[in-house]
Amino acid sequence: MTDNHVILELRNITKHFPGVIANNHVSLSVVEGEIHALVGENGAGKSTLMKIAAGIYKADAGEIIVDGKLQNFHSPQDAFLCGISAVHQEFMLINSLTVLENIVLGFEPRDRLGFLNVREAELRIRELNKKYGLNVPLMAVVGTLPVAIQQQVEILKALYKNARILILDEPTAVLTPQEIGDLFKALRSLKAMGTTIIFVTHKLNEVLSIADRVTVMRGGVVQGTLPVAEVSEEKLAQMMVGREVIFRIQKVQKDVDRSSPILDVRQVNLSSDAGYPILKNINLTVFKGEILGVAGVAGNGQTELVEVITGFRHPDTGEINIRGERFAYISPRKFREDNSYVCQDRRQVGSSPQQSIWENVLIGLQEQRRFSTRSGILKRNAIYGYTRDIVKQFDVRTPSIHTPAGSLSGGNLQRLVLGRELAKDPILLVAEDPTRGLDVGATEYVRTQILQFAAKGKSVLLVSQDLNELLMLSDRIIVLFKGEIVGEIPGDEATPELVGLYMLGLKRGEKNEVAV
Amino acid sequence: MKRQWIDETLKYLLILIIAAIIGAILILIKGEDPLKLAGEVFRYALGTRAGIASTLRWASPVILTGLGIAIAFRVGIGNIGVEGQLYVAALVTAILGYSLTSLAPLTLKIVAISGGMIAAALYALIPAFLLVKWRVNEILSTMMLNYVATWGTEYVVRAFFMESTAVVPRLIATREILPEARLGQLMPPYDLNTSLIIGVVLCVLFYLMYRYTRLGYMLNTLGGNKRFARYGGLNITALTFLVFALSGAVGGIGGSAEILGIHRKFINGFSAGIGWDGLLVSLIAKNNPLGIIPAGLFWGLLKNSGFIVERISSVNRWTIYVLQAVIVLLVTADLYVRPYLKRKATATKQREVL
Repeated sequence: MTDNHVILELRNITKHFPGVIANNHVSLSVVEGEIHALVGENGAGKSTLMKIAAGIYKADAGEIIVDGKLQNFHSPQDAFLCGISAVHQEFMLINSLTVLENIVLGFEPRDRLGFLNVREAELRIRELNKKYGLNVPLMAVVGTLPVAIQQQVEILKALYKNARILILDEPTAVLTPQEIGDLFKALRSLKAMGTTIIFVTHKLNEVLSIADRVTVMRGGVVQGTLPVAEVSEEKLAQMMVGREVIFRIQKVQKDVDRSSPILDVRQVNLSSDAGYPILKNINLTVFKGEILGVAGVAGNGQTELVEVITGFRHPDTGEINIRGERFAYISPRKFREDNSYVCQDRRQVGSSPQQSIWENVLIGLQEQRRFSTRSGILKRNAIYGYTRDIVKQFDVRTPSIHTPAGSLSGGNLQRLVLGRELAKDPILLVAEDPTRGLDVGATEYVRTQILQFAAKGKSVLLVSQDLNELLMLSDRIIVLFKGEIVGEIPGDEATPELVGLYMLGLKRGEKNEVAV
Repeated sequence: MKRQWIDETLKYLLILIIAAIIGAILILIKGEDPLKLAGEVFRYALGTRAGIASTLRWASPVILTGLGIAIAFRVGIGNIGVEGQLYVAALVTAILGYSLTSLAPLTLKIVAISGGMIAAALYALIPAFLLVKWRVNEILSTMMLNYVATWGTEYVVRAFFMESTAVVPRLIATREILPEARLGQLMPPYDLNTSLIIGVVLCVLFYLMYRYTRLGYMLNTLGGNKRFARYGGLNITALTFLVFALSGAVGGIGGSAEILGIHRKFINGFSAGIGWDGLLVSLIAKNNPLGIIPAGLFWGLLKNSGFIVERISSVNRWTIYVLQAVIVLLVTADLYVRPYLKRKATATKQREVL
């Protein structure tokens, strides 16, 4: 920010959607080489504004000026030719291709004969990778990489295409505290090299730690742009919400009955097909009325732990006890008989997108006499009634229970999945990243439901990438590191910093303290 | 729901029009008058007793094989081995059909067909087992097993069941079945027989099964999203075996009925591709059991038209095969046209909003 050259200016942008004004005469100017934070609650219009700047939406009115020249974006391609590149919340990557192939996709370098020639591109990308302190394995298949690395692939892709202005839409929503640190490091080095960054978020501490200037939006209108040096978290919050308090989920008072273990995992070991240990000597207990949080940097065995407990994988050794019943391994069918599982991937695993809502609700219940006769005829009226109750009770917004589940929005689909899993009145709920990708309203709803469920004396195993969520909901948190439980922290003593130390493997609990 | 119906109907009409135009061009090249020829063909195929009987006769086996294939394709299992499975069924049916001399006519027919179904189902379980146990791609294994079945049945017939020492393919055959085993003719003296009724009834039964039963729900779910089915605790291995067996058994009836209704003995190479035609019929019907009926009838009409065209003009039946191919291509190509149409529709809608 040595000179105050305005690289991107949005003037009087207005954008209507049916029933709402997403942006109402919004103006924003971004100075070359700065990190400009754009904050606001969900629905404040920040994503819309950024989509207009990236050429994805077209504004109803207003001007986009890049480097002093008036531009008219018809497509992301146009924005991109002006050097504007966006990294969206949902990544635009092809999972089955390698990182390198993803980066050159659409701009494949060819030799004179028209054959693909990635050698040169590879050298350039390696150089970029090093120059900006990114840590991306170019030959790895994207689908096998953790989310944080995939995000870096997106950034690298933008840099490869010579982006001068990088728009990051809520980049930290999917990251762990450590990964956020890595991202910030990368962003600072990008800034040092002269890249301008627009950073969309609703987390205020992030604004203070990384941005130079911040623009606050509320209800489609800009509330003001300020240098970060002049603001505090409180002031930003007030500008964002329009009132002084920030809503926090009220933790319900409840009793954990430490004399009745519901889920008891003993001495579980699991190796990958290649023989690497994934889970090492796991012992954990979830008591009646308890929410046990499982923290860990992605890829440290949380997913596999859930798979072992819910029956998707067989452990090599060890046992799983559910309410006193002992299993060397359990089948998904047996697990879901009395227990519930809200899985991470609600679209690919937790639902069948082309099938109707009632068919999605019926799963696992089809053998019950109230839903089908002995001779195997479905009792449609009973099924429809049951589905309508769930749709109503869990506020799933849908025109009909015959609508395909795939047409529901993320939040609505998760309400449906959670409703399905809670309506059968399970003993134990295993939930993996239950609020991933949901907006504030849906997130709050899901969390409240989980708390209320536990308050009824039920047990929850909550695995989450969102540390905040774990701290907010858990009675106890265990931390997985390289497939081992390295720490156990009572909910009221847990802080992000303390959990973070365990997650990074910098701190370990005593052995006897860990094994309950 | 209603709109969808209209959409679908319009789409199939459009496909027919395009096919008709291409057909007309091909016929023009041959130097014949397409309108006049088409009129003649339809008059013969749909306006005479012989023509109708022949159309329905050719529809009968492909309705059965089409349904058999649709049963597998619906749940994402690529059983393209119906051609082989129906040979196995046909041979067993033929042998039972001439050897069980003491049974009543109806019982004999039922036993002969059931025996064929069981044999075909067992034969279809081989690729199922390979898939479940070693993840052998079922498209490859069923395709290879087609050869095993067609040549294998020929070998078995030659080695154990042949009366003469003929080497001409058409004469490599078993003994003739008992007269009591023959399927009843629907329009004597023509070949059309009760297998048409069996096929239509099975299509309706399977439709009802998918719509109203627990098993149907489980199969629809397996076809909808396999990972979800597993998550929900469905026994995927058992369902996979069941689907292969059902698919083979129903397709197998297509072979058995040809023996009991038309050829009266197992003849080497008797099928002339009804298993493959069934594949195309199930593609046209989008694996919908009820759709198999019109698709099969249409296929019978095309096949019959091919024969008629050769009789009354210089155009040969390959012209009709080209039309068959065009129609199948257009029906499947629609998968890719659809999203485009939808995008266009939303784009227009958006413009209206702005």
